Amino acid sequence: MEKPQDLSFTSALIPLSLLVFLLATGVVLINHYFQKSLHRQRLIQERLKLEYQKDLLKSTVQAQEEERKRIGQDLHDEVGSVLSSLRILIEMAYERGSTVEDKNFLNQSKKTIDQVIYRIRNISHQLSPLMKGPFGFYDALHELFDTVNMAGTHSVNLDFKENQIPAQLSDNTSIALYRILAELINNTLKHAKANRIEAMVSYQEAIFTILYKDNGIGFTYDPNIRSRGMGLKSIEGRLNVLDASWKITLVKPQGSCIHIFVPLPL
Amino acid sequence: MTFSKFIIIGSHLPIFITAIYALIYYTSLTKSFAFFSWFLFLSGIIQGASLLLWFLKKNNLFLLHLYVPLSILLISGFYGLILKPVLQMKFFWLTGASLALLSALNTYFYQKIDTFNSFALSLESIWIIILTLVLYFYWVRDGERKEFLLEREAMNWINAGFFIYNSSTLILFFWGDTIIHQFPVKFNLDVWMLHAFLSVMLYGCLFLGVWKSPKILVSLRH
Repeated sequence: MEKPQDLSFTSALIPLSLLVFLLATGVVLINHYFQKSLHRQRLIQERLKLEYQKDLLKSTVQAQEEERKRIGQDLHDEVGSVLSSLRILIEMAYERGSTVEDKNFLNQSKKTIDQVIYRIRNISHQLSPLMKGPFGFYDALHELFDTVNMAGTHSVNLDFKENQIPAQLSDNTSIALYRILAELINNTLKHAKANRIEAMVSYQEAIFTILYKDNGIGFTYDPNIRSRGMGLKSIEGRLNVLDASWKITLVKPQGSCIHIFVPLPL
Repeated sequence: MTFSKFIIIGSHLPIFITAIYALIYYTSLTKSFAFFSWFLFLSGIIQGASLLLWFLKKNNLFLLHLYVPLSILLISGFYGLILKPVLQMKFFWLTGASLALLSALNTYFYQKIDTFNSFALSLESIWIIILTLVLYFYWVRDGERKEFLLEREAMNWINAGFFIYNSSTLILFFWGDTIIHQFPVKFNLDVWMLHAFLSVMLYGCLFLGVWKSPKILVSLRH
């Protein structure tokens, strides 16, 4: 027979344990909910941070482009016009020249000035390519590939028809893609030991795709390795600003193949 | 067989299942979960032996005196490995070893080997509750650390299981010796039936934890 105090104890022990069980379960659930909400907040913060970094990168790229444009225009307008005046003066001196030696010397000077003017024009175009409208991008790319072809050491082929130019291609996107292709060509010429470069441009289902191929030694790319070259970092930065992605594959027996995918507004 | 006895015997099943699962996947578990498996093996062996002695109607309480210090050491070590990125391992080992020593001293001087070691069990429960709360605290503070993220889902189950089980059974353990010796058999069965329910819940959580734990290739473990 149980004593009265035993009865009160027995009647309290199990309910008390159950109560603690419910409380503990409640604590676990609240903690779980709290952690989930904390995680969600951290994800939002992370997204905002990424957006801020992207905006910052965009502003830096824009400022860089504006500065390049300014230097390019200054070179073209200021230095170019001074050199043209100098060329006219040399032509006038040539007309007035008396001896054959003087005329030869002035003729040589004129040729050198022509070379300098041509180079300055090229540098100026590279610094601020004429990118007004989608056709500007088309022209600038063909000019870039022609320049490499003219050097004669590499065979460069660009498959980009006028009807493939999407109307939504903004000037900023055009400049960024131009710079990326220029950087890729630069890398091929400097490191790839290639003699053939091919590029194809296409637009389908709101995705503007550039396929870039060379027959060089190829390269390994790991986005997680921090010690990448400045060129690759610059390409990554520009792709990031465009919300674009890229895929690099090694081609057998040799060469590399790069796909660039740029989403464009419909 | 009465309903209570059926429940108490049946409650051993999740323990064996969890221990066997951990044994099968032992080689592909991470370092911390491989260590935790030893606690599951210990539980499986002790519970199996106690069930056998119970069937043979022999005193099985001495097993509890063996189980408590060993489980304190294993659980302390496990939490030490989990909290290694934020706390020093030696804190867990030293505290765990001190509590295991206290449990042994309790057996030697106070609650003899053939009695229910309620004090040692209560102490173990309090220690485990502290460990679970410490983990919750560090999850809130440094929850996004990559060292935590890998095992977090699995640890969530294990930590919740330990916290709920030890909080709920603390009172039962503390009064365990009194319940066994001074209360009627029916009340004893009711209490141990409640314990069986909590044990099923605990080992259910531990099984989910080991099941959800990251599995790795053997060659990458060390």
